[in-house]
Amino acid sequence: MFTDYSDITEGIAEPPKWFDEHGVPRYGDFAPYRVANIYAIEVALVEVACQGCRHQFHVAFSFHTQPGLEEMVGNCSSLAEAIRKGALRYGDLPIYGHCRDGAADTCYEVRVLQYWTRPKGWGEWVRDSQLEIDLPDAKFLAEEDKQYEVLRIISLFPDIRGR
Amino acid sequence: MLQRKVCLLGAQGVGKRTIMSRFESNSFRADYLTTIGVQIAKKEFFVGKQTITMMIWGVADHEGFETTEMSFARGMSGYFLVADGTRPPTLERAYQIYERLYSFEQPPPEVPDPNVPYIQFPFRKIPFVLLLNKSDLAEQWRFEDRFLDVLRGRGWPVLKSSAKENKGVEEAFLSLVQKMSS
Repeated sequence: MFTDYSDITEGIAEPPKWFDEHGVPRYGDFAPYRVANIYAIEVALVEVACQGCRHQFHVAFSFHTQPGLEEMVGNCSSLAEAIRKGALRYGDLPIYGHCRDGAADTCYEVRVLQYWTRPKGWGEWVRDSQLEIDLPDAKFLAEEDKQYEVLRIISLFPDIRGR
Repeated sequence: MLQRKVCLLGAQGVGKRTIMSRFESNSFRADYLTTIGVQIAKKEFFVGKQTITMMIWGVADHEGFETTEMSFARGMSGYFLVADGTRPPTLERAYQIYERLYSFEQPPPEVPDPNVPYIQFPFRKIPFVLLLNKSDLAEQWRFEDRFLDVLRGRGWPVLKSSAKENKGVEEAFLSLVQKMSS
């Protein structure tokens, strides 16, 4: 569970545009150099969703060769590998706007919106759109949405035995 | 020999024509032509010692399913609400048609208007079967049996069919004939 940053969010009328690797709300446009990890060599902006209410967030992932945020990429050796393997794990949701249960639940990682890397390990960021892909949870959510549609239609049908 | 009128009602593209073609020639038509108005086929069923000739009316679905389409349903002894098991909105459409039939009863007009079809027949007691077609498309099929059991639990006579593979169609008609005979 992340820290509650309502002291920030409640003082600003507009919603955050994205959250950094620690669930901190950010109000400017996402850019790779704006993540919390100043040593990052790979960065991704990922759409995640609350397990309970499907409220969507844009959150940052980062990776560097030093210890720190390994949980985000599982046992993978890079953020790119974790994206390809569908192993990205943001953990619990940022605390903002979701249902009561959401804060304590891990989130669905839905799709990679932006992926950036520093090919030299330092200096200029280069965007690689080939890694901006749907993650395994996207398919799962799409299937669930179809079930919701069926359930909604089924719920229309009344009991006609007495008619 | 008894003759009965049965209507196939449902959204466009659910397979009404192919269900009918099963009875006319026992062959599946892969080509598709949207029904214009109504299409009629004939099929004989033997129930006990009785022969029942069913006049099967395939009624095209138009936006709103209003009075003109409803007039095709006049005089029917039973009907199928056909939906496509791969497209949930067609089940919602079948439900809308059912509700429209159920609610549709007009008192006789004092002065008949030749331009307005007059439908007196009460639809609400007519036996019907809710037929989910295209069961052959297993990977796209959206209605798990547990969902169908919910409908059956609410009194809806639900059956599955594949007109393409000629599965469940004959059984569905026999089921309806039995309901009509009881």
